[in-house]
Amino acid sequence: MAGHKIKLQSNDGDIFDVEVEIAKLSITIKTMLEDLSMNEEEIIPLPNINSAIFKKVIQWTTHHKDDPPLPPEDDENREKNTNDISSWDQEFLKVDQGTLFELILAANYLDIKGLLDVTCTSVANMIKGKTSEEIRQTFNIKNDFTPQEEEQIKKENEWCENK
Amino acid sequence: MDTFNKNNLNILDLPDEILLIIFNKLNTIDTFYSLVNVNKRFDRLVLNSLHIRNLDTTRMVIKSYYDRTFSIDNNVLSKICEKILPRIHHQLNELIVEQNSLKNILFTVNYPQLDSLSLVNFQKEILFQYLTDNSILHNLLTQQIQHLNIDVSYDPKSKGSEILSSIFALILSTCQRLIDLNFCQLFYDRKSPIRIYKFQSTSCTSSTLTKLKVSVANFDDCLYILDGRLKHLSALIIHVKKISLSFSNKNKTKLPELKYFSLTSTEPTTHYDDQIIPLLCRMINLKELTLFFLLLKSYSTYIDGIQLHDQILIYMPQLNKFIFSINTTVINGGSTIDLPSNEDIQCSFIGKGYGQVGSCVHNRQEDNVGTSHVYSLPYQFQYFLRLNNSFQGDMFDTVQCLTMTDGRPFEHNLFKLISQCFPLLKELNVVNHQPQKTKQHSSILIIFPHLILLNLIKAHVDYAEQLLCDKNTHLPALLDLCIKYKSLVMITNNFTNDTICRNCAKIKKLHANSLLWPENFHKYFPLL
Repeated sequence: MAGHKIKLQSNDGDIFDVEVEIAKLSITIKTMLEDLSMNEEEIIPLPNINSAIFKKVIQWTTHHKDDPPLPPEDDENREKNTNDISSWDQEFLKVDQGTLFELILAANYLDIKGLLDVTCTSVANMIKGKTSEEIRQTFNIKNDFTPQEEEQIKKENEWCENK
Repeated sequence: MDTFNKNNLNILDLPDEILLIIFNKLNTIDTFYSLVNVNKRFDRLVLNSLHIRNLDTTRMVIKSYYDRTFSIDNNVLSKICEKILPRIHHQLNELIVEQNSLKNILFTVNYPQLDSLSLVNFQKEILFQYLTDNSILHNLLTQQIQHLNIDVSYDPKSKGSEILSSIFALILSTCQRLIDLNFCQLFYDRKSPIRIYKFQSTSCTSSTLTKLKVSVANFDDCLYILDGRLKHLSALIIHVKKISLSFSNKNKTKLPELKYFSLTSTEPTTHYDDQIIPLLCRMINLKELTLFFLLLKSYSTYIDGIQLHDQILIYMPQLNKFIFSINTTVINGGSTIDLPSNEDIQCSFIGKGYGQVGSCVHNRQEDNVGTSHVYSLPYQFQYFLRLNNSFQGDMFDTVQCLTMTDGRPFEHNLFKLISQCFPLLKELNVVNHQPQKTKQHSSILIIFPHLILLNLIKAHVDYAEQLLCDKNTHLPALLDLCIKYKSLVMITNNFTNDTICRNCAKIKKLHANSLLWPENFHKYFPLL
């Protein structure tokens, strides 16, 4: 049974009809509806998200609408597991880097903890095991250390190696 | 996925707060290995962020339940020693290190702020040598360390190693500033006991230690620790391998310094009245109490809320937290003692400030035997022992080791309930010789996503079929299997069908009573 819908507008003007229960997975939208008493008839603008990314967000939230709440972070748990991405999410996240970073920004803006968690885990997996040079290549990052700074780091290393 | 993006958004376009979320998903060593020296911003975020007060240089890899490695790759270790430590050593308060990297880590730089040290997965002999040599480690322990965690290679059959006991004594005499010692209880399933009660009266003393976490072989060892040799001990978390008859006369003096006490033991004991109660009654200023044990009683009744209150808690007027799990098995033979029902047990906890209590009672009236399990909720232990068919459900998301035992068969629905109630289970032991009554059941697959060890040695073949056959249960993480060879033969129709291939695909240790394996054995256990 389909529930009530609200209208959400991306920054490129597209309007999306989204079930309230799905939209409320975003704490930002939930707050707009509840605390700011926004009318469900009103069009809610989302100035930081374009329609392509918002479509992906709706796709993710629709699939995860019945998920239990995420457990709190456990400081005692020393073993950080970055392999816990479900097969559906793995498939969902087979996107180019730009889309992945946009999804992260959207999840952060909309305050959707599960989506932020899984997208950040996906980037962490891309980092894991790579050397610093491989990281520069993977993410197209420029080495911005000056020759003097490089020299300083080398000196530190020599000091350490001579110990 | 590593392709460059179409819309030019780069990882550097993410704000610091999000980069830190990503970096925090990696272990510290992964973060250091991959992210230091990439660019200035990453260096600032990784090296300057406040959380680098501690450094964990271990990585646990579980090869099988009892075979774990903690070493890091040599390349990673080199980078940490050569490029990271020189930049952060001065600010480190806490260091976690395993045996193979100890020399590299400790000898590379000095650690002026270090006061917390964890030594993980050391061989006992090597650790003893380090402690007796005039090494950097010895100096650190003598002059700086206030919080010390020790973990040694685990031997499940150990009943109290002599050298480990000596290490314990040596640490107490060496560490002049030690406040907090966790001795071989870093991991719930690697508790190596020590046996110290026969040591000289001048051994194992400390005037600084306030918190001790330790495993001991006997109850006498527990009494030894509490005989005043640790003057300022206010918190004792002790696991006693076997609570047996004590010949000590040390179980008398009051313990006014002790504020927190935890006693756990996973082997049944008959010495509740004569050992445990007198010990607890000495703790007159206790604020928090944790108890986990299994009692065996005859011609008696179950431990209930009234007994706990009248025999123990009234002697602890300052107690504000009581966490417990107590199994009682009562064998009354020909006596006419009526064992209480589950409702009676629940009633005994009402009105005495216990909070929510779970209970499970099974009385076998025909032979006057019964079992009871009472526990505070939410359940907070890693073990749940002796679960039977009277189990009602609830959430036990701290439990990693479960033992099921009953004289009545365990049916499919009970396993389904268990998979839901124990979502983080790593070890499952099934003890039941009764065949299942209902073999036709729903086709819903039961999943134990984290189960590493399955012990079916004392189980009817039906439970091997229930838990190993791919059509009934999915065990994606199973590494260790203990099973009777004839059960394996039966469920695989003498190794001719493929009913268990998926669940057995990752098994690295098989404990089965056979020396001769069939030709196609590796089809079932490809990693053996």
